[in-house]
Amino acid sequence: MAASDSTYRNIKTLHVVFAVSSLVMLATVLGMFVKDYYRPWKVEQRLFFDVEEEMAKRQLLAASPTEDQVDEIAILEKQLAEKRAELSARRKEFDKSVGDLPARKLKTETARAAVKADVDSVQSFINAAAERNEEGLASAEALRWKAQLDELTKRLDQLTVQVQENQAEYDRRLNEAGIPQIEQQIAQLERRHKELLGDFDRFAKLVSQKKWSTAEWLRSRPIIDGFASPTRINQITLTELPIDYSFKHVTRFDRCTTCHLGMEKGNYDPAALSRLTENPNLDKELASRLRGARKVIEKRRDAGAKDLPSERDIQPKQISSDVLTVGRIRQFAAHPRLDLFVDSASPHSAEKFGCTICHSGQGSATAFYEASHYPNSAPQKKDWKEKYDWKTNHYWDFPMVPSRFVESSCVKCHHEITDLIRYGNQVEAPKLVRGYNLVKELGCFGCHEIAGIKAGRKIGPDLRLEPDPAPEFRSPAEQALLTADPLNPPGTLRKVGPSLNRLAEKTNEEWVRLWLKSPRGFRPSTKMPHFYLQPNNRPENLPEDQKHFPDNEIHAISHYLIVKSQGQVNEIRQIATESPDASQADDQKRQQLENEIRNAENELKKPNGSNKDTVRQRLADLKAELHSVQSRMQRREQLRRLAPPVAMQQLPADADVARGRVLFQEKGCLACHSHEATESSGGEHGGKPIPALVGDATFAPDLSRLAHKLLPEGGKVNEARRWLVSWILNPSGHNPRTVMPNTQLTLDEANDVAAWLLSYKPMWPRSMEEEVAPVDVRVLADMAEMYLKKVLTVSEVRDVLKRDASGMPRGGFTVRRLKEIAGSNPENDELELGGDLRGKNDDEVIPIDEHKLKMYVGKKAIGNLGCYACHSIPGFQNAKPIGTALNEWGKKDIERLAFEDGHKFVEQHFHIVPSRDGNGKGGQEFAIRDGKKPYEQFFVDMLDHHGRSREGFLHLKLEEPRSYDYNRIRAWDERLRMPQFKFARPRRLPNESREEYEARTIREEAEAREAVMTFILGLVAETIPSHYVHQPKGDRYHEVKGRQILDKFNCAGCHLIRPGSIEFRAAPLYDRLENGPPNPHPDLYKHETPYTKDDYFEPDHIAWAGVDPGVVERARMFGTHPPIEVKTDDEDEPSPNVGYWLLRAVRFRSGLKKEGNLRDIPAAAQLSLPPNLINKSVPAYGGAFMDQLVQYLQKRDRENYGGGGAKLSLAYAAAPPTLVGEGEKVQPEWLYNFLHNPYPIRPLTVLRMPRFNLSPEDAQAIVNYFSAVDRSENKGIGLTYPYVAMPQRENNYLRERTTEYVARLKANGKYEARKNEFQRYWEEQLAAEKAAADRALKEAEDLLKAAPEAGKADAQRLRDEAKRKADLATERWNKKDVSELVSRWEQQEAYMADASRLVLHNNICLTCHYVGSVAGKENKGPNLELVAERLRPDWVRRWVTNPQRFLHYTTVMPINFLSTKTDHQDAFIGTSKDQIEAVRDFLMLYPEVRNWPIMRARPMLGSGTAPATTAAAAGGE
Amino acid sequence: MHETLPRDFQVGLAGYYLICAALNFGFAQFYLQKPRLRVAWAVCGFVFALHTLVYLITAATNPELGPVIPHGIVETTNRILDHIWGPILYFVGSCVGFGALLYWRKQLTQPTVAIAFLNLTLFLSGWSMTNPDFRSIITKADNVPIVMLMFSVGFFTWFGLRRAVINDERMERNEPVLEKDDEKVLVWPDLVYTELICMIIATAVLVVWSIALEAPLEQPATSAKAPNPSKAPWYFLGLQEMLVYFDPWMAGVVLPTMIIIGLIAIPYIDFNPKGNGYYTFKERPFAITTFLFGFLVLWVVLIVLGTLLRGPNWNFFAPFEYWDPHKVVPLNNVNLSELFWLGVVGDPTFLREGGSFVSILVREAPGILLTAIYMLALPPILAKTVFRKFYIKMGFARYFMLVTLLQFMAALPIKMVLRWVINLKYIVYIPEYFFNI
Repeated sequence: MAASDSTYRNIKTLHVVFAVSSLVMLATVLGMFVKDYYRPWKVEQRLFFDVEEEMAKRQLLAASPTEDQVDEIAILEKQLAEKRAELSARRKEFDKSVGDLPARKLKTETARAAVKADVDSVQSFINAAAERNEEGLASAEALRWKAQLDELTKRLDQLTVQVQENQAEYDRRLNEAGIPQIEQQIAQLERRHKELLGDFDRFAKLVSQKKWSTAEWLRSRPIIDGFASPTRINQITLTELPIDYSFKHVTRFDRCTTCHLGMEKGNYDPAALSRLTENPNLDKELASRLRGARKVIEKRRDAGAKDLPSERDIQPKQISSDVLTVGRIRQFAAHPRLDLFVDSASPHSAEKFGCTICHSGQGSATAFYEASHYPNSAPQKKDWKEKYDWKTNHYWDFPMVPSRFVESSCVKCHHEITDLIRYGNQVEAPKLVRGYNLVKELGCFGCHEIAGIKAGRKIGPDLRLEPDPAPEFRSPAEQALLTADPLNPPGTLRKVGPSLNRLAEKTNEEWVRLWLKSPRGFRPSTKMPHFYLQPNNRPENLPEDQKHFPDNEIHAISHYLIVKSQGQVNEIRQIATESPDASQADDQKRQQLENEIRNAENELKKPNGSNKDTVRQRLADLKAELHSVQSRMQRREQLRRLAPPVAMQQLPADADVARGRVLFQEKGCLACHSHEATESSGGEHGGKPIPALVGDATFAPDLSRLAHKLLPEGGKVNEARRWLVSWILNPSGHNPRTVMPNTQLTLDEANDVAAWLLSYKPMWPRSMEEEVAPVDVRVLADMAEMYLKKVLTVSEVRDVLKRDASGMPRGGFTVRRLKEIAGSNPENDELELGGDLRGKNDDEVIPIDEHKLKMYVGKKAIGNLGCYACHSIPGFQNAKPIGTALNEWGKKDIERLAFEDGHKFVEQHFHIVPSRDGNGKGGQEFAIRDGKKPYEQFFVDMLDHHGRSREGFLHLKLEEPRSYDYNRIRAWDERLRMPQFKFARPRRLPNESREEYEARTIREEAEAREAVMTFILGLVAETIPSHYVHQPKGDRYHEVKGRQILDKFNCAGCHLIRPGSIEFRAAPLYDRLENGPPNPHPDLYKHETPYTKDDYFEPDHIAWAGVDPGVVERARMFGTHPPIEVKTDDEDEPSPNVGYWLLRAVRFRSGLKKEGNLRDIPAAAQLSLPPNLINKSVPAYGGAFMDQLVQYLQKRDRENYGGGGAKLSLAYAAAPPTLVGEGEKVQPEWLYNFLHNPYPIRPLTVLRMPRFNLSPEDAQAIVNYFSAVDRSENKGIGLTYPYVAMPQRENNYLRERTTEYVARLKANGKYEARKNEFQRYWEEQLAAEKAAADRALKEAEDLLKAAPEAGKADAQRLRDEAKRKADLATERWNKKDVSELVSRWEQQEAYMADASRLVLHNNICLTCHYVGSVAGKENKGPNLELVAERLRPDWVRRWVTNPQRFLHYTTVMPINFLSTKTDHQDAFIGTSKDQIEAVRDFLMLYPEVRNWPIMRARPMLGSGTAPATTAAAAGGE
Repeated sequence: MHETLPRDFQVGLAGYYLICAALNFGFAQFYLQKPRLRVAWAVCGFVFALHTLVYLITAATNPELGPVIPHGIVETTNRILDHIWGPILYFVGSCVGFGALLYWRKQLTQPTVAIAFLNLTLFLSGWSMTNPDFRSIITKADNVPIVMLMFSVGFFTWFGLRRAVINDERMERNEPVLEKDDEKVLVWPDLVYTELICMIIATAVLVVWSIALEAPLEQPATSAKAPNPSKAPWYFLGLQEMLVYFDPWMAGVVLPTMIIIGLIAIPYIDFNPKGNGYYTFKERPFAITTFLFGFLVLWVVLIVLGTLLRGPNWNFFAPFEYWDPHKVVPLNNVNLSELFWLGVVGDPTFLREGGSFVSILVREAPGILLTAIYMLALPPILAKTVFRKFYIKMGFARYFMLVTLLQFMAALPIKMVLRWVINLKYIVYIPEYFFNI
């Protein structure tokens, strides 16, 4: 071993290297700290501390007294100090003056307590003794103790007296010294002091808290910060709401609030935050407050208070806008909807829901990019890229939802969608709900199944087509089968398009062709999408051999539809004319066949039967025949539901066209339809001109060009009119699933309407492009060849089509081959190439001709395009939807979407704009430019390789569905098939230029498209724990479900169903109401509790008593706009204020103080609100047509409806009634029946409730809706449903009331008078009874005479009985003995008899109502006979009390029984309240009591006097 | 249309070029005595410095003007490497390059050549980085080690070969090798102190690395959605590449096992005492060639292929090509049995799947035969011919061990070539028993 001192390396060098590397190491460690110190969220938090401090200061200053108030405070404090000093002085004095009183007092009290303890103890000994000894309390032991107890008790009593005396003495002395009074004064002063400074003190504390302590400052220094940082990650851990990774659930950690720090702080609104960046010295108000605050603090400090912020602490500072940038303001701001989200009191508190469940993005991340933020527009994206180096985060499957689509997340838990509507009509997710409605309206679910249940789990909204035919048209057994699987219930939605089963009746092939080519060319607002003239099938974009395909396909489809539907029409007519015997004959035939089959089967079972083969053959034949008979019967059953058109002979020969228009406008057609001819006035009817009625309904088709459709060139006018009349009279006879109701028009009326509709034939301009080229059989053959090649070999196809030199087909199938191809499927497409095969020889060759080619190609095309998804089409009963199921589309893997060359398509076909809210600078506005439609850059980027997203794909798919075929080579039937929809379908406003309209259309379309996208993006089928899924229960459930049905039938088109609401800043308004100048509206009055007006206050009813708002800042009131009066001259300056008519009472506390008196502004008050007080205004649900009709009527018939006041009320009474409070009003059972079969109720209405095509479930849902809504909104009234109790109909009730009433009669001394009144009637009654008894006796005697011997005894007995009764009656009559009748009157009749005098009083109800057959003076209101079965008793009482409370216009019905008066004592004795109840009771019992003999004795009251004027009474005093 | 380079990136790029320039100025300084080289490196340094300047200016003024790799070059590269030719060109090129490196090692390991090569690489890398598709792959935090691997493997290969060449020359001249050193050294400070320093430096490097490159925060794995492409850890990408050509049991079980066994067996097979403690090529050409082929070509090259050039659906993507998941590459591969029975014999009777064991054997007879020849007949033949000397020197057991290992190693390139030349899927295809070769 070579030992050496020298080292291999130079040791000095090593030292140097070591030193350097150590330094490097140190540097890296420091780098680590730097990196940690500047972690993005730490930077944000440190900055937020400053913001928080500053915000606390501002809050403090906002709460601090102004300089004036400081003076008041000073005085207050001085007084307080004085009072306190006085108090202590007096106390001292008092202590001196009372001498030994306190000592004595204490002594006796102590003594008494001791004795009391002894008493308790001895008592227990007694009890124990009693239990121990047989004799109980009488035992010697017990008695001994008892003696002791008595003694003690005596002592205790003595002491108690002493104690009380002492106390009284003490109190007296205290009072004499004036101490309690001073204490009270101090308390008062303190209260005021707190009022002025309470908030200040609270915030002062906050400021000193928010201020950083030295320790915190130190801890936040670099390096130290790495160990004990005051900054920390805020994390919400949601084990119950995990992230769903398919098959694996991972706890959700949301750390968003680590940077979004002001999320829960209500006062951190962007405006307040941005104020921090302004120079505080320039704010005078702030300066004044600052001075005030300083003074207060100074004083406090002088007074020796601690924990006060220093001068410097409250000095507001400016935060540079370079630091507190716009982005940071947004980041630090509170959630804009704290009432709904984040706040712990809101339904979606942050602790329970976190953030990413709605917003998506990566919650665990604490840096901008990692959190997967996603911009909302291209400019924002650009901004983010620059500022935060933003890019798409490919590492996270759920990037943040762009805020314009954030509502889509609601679908995760709100599967019903309509449960996002609160307070009647406040739609909390308007975009989503709109999307949902559009999807339902446009029938997306026809092609794209949206199933709400998957593997037995609710996963989302359930939008599926109902089975065809609908369950209600099936036998109970089939229905049971359909609904057997609770995990897979049948769909419930009807096809959105009209049935095409009877198309041939309606129009002809040529019109169908033009329509198919360009539906919007015919009807710009149609729901029908465009299948042709699309980028992938415009002739110029097609290869040479396909150029003529589109037009020929159109020929084929229209031919198929017309031919097939003609077949159905013939069948229907045949069955209608068929004698009833036919079905009977079939039934007999069926029985006979069944017998024969049974016989044949028995024969087969015989062991030695001969010719088994023959029998088998016969059996097969019989079964086939039975099958055909059965299917014929079934088919007949189906067709029976349909009605053939009105017979030609029934159709009136001519029609009154002008009346047709009036009917069309007045009968409610415009609640669903629109028609351009009604938009301008014109013509006259009944001597009056017909004014315009501009409807805005898009629920049903615009009928402007109807004549072109029904009456194509050369069509027969009468045929068209006949069809239209049949349709108007009975739409469901034509299509059993239509939502068009039975209009209840008479044949004559329908005829006039039809004639008017057909008489209007405006221009139908068509471009060259929209014309359909003539059919070319060769092209049809080419298409058939294409389809046939998929079924047959190429050589067979060539053989079958046998094209000649010119390309015309000359071949055909043999019958046998066709049967082979079709197999057992009677709906096989190829069968169309054979036509009717019945009775044809198997070897026969059926030549292919134009008709057959059209039928074949047409059927193929319909199947390919999925027309049957919206229309019922013969031959497609069982066809499956053609589109992708959408129930999980919202989370579809992006790699599974074929973006193809969509990006380039957009670049070449659209004009790309940076954002939709472009300001118009540099031509970047969202409008058409150079003939190109605008397209947002935001969505363009989403088609790019680097930014692909579902949103981008969907957007283009909805805008140009066929665009993904661009730059692709595709066979004809491989091309994309989705048609192009228009979602917005706006109507051109009367004074709008074409350009304006176009621009608006584009913008609205973009918005509507986003709404649809929002809904579809929400379909993610995520597994959300069931307790997170919103499952409305009870009333809410019925409300949510009912809303869907109301929308389905457009009930809101006519009726006002729910009031709107206004959320307003309450304080200024209330202040104005209380202290302001005289109210502009007489109805807007103040009142204290108890309520003082002319009607009775109903403390439990929301029309009288509002709900305590709780908070003062924001309150909500319910109502609608006030009645619309059409004026002839426009002199009135339109008020800037918003008029509002309350439909519910509003409650507030006087002076906005907790201890203030409750004040209610009851319903029917009219308010006028300055717009700046309104936070949020929600329109009412429904009633648009009502308003239009009212305005129309005022113009049309000024005599009856024009001129305001009572006439305006009449106009409203003529319109469809409001349904606000309908549930409270009517009996559910009645409503259910009424919906199924409505009858006229109100004589004043100009239109009638049509009969809707409701299924039992639909009707039930509507009834439940109304009841549920009123029960939940009007909790105090104790509404019940589905059953209503009628205590008025119980015997006891009537008896009690009668007894009570008789007592009242007696008390009022009216008893005898009444008896006298009835005396004559009772005598008549006796006479009548006598006559009846005599008649009976005579009959019995006749019977006896004729009786055979054997029956003599019985007959004799009967006669004797009759004789006895007759004698009795005679005797009574002789004696004028009315006692029995009087007692009946006393016990049963008196109450009702007098009540009837109110109802049938000429000046009360009969002024306007008929009651049964009793005619009133006028027939204005519903017949009161209906009340008993129609109305709820409680509602009747309230209605009679004050009808005005229930309506949103001034009603013609007066308050008949004012609370301040007691009228009509001649009719009914009692207060007006008693009278109201009597009226109610009578009406509820009317069907029962109307035939009581005593009713005949009713004297007609009030006949001489004039009826009360309605309007004056209605308005109240 | 080209994507603008982000401002920050341009600044980074300027920094990169600055380092390159500094490097070249360093070289120039080092070659002070050789004026021509000095000028050459200085020019390179200036070119790089110019780049720095350009990017700094564009970043400061208008980022949109930042120069990017010309579209034509991108397109040409993509076209050349696109589709099926990609892996072939890449692998065959690597093999050829490897051969050339060994053959012309004397010339290629000249420092001048090496520096020129390095400069070229840096230059191309810099420009390539301006392509968004290339950049997105190369800058992925996961892929940074691969880039480091490329440069470090390159350096060490060069270093070893360079020393070997010099030593070989010295030995020819009977001079001592460079590493000749008989003295023993002290544990302290020569060993422990240096180790300590290394520890510190390694720690510092790791810390800097982790500060500079944050680990990406990715989502937890979901069983419903596999990432596409789904890649193994970088050190296993060579194995994953083998899966393209072999059945999983071969690529995933047999071959890795053979690699491990082979590595264990090296000391027993290789008993050549030369080359201990110094670099040499001439004294052990076979060992070095075999090892370098196995490590460089069959391992590192495949890792680079797997990391940078394999995209969605495991398709080959040229460096500047967008990783389009919708790209479809035809895979019409056939089995040897089909080739034989249909192509050569023209009778499909024996091609039936299923059937008895014997019929399977008959069907797969050609493949089995070939495999048998390769595995069993080849070693004796080699022993008689090419490896005659080895056989004599090593004896039976060692020889067969060596040859078997070599055969397994050669199996991969052989299979690759067969796949490319005749679209061969499997040599032996017995799905009935999950046995495919």
